[in-house]
Amino acid sequence: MLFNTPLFFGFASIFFPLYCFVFTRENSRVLLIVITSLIFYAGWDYRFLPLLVFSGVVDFYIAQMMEKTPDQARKKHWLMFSLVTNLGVLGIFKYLNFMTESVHDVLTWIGLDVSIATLDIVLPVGISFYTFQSLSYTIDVYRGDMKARKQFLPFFATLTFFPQLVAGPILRASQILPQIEKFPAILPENIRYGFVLITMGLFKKTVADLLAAPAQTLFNSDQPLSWLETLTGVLAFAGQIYGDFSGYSDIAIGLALLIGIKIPLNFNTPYFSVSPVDFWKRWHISLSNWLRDYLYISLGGNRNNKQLRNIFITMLLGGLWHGAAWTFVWWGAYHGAIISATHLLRRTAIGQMLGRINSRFFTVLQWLFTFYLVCIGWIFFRAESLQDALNIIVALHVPDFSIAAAPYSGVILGMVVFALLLAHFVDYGIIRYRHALESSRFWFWLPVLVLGQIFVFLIGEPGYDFIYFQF
Amino acid sequence: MTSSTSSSEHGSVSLSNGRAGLLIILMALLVLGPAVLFVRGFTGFAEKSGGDVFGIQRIRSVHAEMDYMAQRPGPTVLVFGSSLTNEGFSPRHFDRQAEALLGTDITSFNIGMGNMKPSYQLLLAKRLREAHERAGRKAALSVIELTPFLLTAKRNAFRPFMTEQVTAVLMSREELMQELWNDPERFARLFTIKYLRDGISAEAITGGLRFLIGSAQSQVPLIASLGEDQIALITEQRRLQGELNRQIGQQHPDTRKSIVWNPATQGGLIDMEDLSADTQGLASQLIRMMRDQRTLQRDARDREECCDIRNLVFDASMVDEFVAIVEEFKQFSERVEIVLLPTNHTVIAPTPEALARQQQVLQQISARTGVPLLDYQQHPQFAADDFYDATHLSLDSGKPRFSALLARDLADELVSVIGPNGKTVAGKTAVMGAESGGG
Repeated sequence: MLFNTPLFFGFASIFFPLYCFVFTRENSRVLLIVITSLIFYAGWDYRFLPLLVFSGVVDFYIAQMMEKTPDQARKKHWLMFSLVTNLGVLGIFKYLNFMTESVHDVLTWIGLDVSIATLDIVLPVGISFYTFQSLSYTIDVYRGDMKARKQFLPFFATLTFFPQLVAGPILRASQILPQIEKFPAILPENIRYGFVLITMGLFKKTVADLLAAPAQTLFNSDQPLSWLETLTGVLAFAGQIYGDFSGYSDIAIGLALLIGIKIPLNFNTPYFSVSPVDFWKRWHISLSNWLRDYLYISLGGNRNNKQLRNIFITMLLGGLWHGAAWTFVWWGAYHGAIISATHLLRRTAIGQMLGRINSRFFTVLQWLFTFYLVCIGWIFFRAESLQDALNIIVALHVPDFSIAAAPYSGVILGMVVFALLLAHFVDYGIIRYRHALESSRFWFWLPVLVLGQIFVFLIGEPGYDFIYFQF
Repeated sequence: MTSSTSSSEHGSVSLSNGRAGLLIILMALLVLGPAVLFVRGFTGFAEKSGGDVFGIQRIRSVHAEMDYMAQRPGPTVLVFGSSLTNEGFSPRHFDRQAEALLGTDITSFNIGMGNMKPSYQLLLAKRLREAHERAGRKAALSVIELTPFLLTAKRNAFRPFMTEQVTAVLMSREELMQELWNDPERFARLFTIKYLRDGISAEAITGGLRFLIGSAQSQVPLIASLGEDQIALITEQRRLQGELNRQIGQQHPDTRKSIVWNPATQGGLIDMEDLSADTQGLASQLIRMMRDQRTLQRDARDREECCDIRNLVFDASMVDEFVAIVEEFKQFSERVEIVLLPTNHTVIAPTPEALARQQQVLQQISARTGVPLLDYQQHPQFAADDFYDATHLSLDSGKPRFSALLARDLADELVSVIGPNGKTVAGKTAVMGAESGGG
């Protein structure tokens, strides 16, 4: 059940009136959220419901056991049990075939012709997201950052909360659990801003779907394309993944806001970043924060002069989190490398001198250079293989002008750049003017919402999956 | 509880449950309502000014005129098929020939539509059956076009974006509700297209834009392979086509002889004799131009791309659907015939393996339906000059010849139903409930 489909509209048309008019007591609302969220999930694939319930039940009871025992060693054992269970399930469903195929490739490479069977495993939708969210609960309880809960349903409601169940944002239990336990009052500005986010999210998703065609032309092409089309394809994918994922996040945040639940921002105009470090503070913020809080810090963080090593490992695993393929590993490694390089540069005299430059022109240069680095990363992310990625990177940097550009190539490039900027300025607008958009005094935004919805309804084609569902 | 009196930085007080619910509903209506109205207004305007820009007008108009066809007095002949029928069958020529042979008024209808797939045609056949049931009548004869390349796996995958739009328009309310249980996601999509979008899907609207930004790039090798003379030829063809359309519009301001199914023309498109002498010259010039060998070869390549016309790897589910179409027609027709239209075999020659597969499928269809097949594919009366492209009969010669020939070849069948002097043969009444001839 995709957010951008009429079926989800029907689903929401039932959920919100029930929430507001029928299920008005807190306990019943928790139950409503759990039931509707399970129905929502079953709409994808009901076979994986037990897995979701299993993850919730295991972590709920492990957290209770940790809470009960004063012995730190036993607590650690329980935490290990939670990690092994959750990551084990994730490993089986997401990485088993990848690992066996990789082993097979290595054996073949060294000359051993070994036949290895792979299983036909379907990836349960949202497993990477809810596994991380569930883990955050046991880790927080282990660290003493929050108390284990005695009631299962509110905890399970946070894990299954349908707006962010299948593609995030990844919430820490401490961010959402208190809100589900005691539902916040709904303010009119929540509803107004919620609609802004939902509509603009759908708008960005529609733009992203339009950008899919030129991106596919490049990444699915079996013949070399002109430099102009290569550039267009790379930019189109940068716009597609941004509009697609940030659009999804906006819709999720907006839906939650309609019932007063606040989910933190997941994107903050990431292509206006001035460095790779800055980019990861603006792109998929909930994942960055999760990786920082639970992986990078667990590895030692900045201590013992191992910052660069820890960054690299964190980004490498962050890449692998996205998908079971070597291209994602390379993408993670690439980001680990450019973030490490940024830190290294900052330690040098040149880096410190650059850091003191305070000019708009220089900021624009930083934007462009960071965007360029990010786009190179997207080539690894999107390409079918490492070889394809390298071919595209070479084609982008060593133009072959003997290949003629298709008709309209210039027009298409212009449209792609326009769409990319448009999606970004929408993002900028809803963040920068949040106060005004929430206010009832500023009705100027209503026509903007209507225009956005017209755009979505006119050409928004239902049925295009959100890219991050595959993760 | 949410009815607390907390306030925000905007100074607003929290809403009671009921007020929150009402505000959500109001906002949804305020945002969605104008969007729905705008889309309907936009598509309506686009169709009015630009014609069949979303590829649905003929289907919609056939759907709207089914009762007219079913209630038409006297014996009726339904000729049902794809664009090959649409452009290759003239009700006027058929009726004239039938009258000459049988001495009675026959009303034939052209129910041919482009971009068809058997799944849509099956829905259309069901709606036709219902219309005849409502009218309490049967068609004297139904002629169903069978075009092998429209039953291939490649064709099944062709233009998937059209599928939902056409299905939504043709589905009955009961079939739509059935979809709610089979596939709720699809139900919601079809429901929206049918009732909120006036039968026009977002895919149909974006088709042009998507072509521009996507397919245009994939067309590079093809466009690059065209010489300047060919591009000039295409440009000239487009100019002539535009001029022809303009003159037809002037000469037939009411019907415009357009793609929309018009009762006045019995669903048929333009006939040569509908045109003034000058316009006939223009049409002939255009047809000659379209028979340029390179244009025909390009058209043949397109047919291979879309429909596997040379190899004919069939899709079993499409064959099943075709059989189901025939079964539907049997229920409201005194007789049913399956017809294979003439092919332009000088341009496209299927491989021997393809012909063997075709033969197998034809035998299968004939055996399963019990309906005889009239095969004009290699008919000696049709030469390359009777086509205007790789597959369609031409306005000036192929279409009238085929229509008259069909009437002659089906005369015996018609006589068996309506009698030699236009009277219904005993036991073969054109009233529903009588024993079906069924082919």
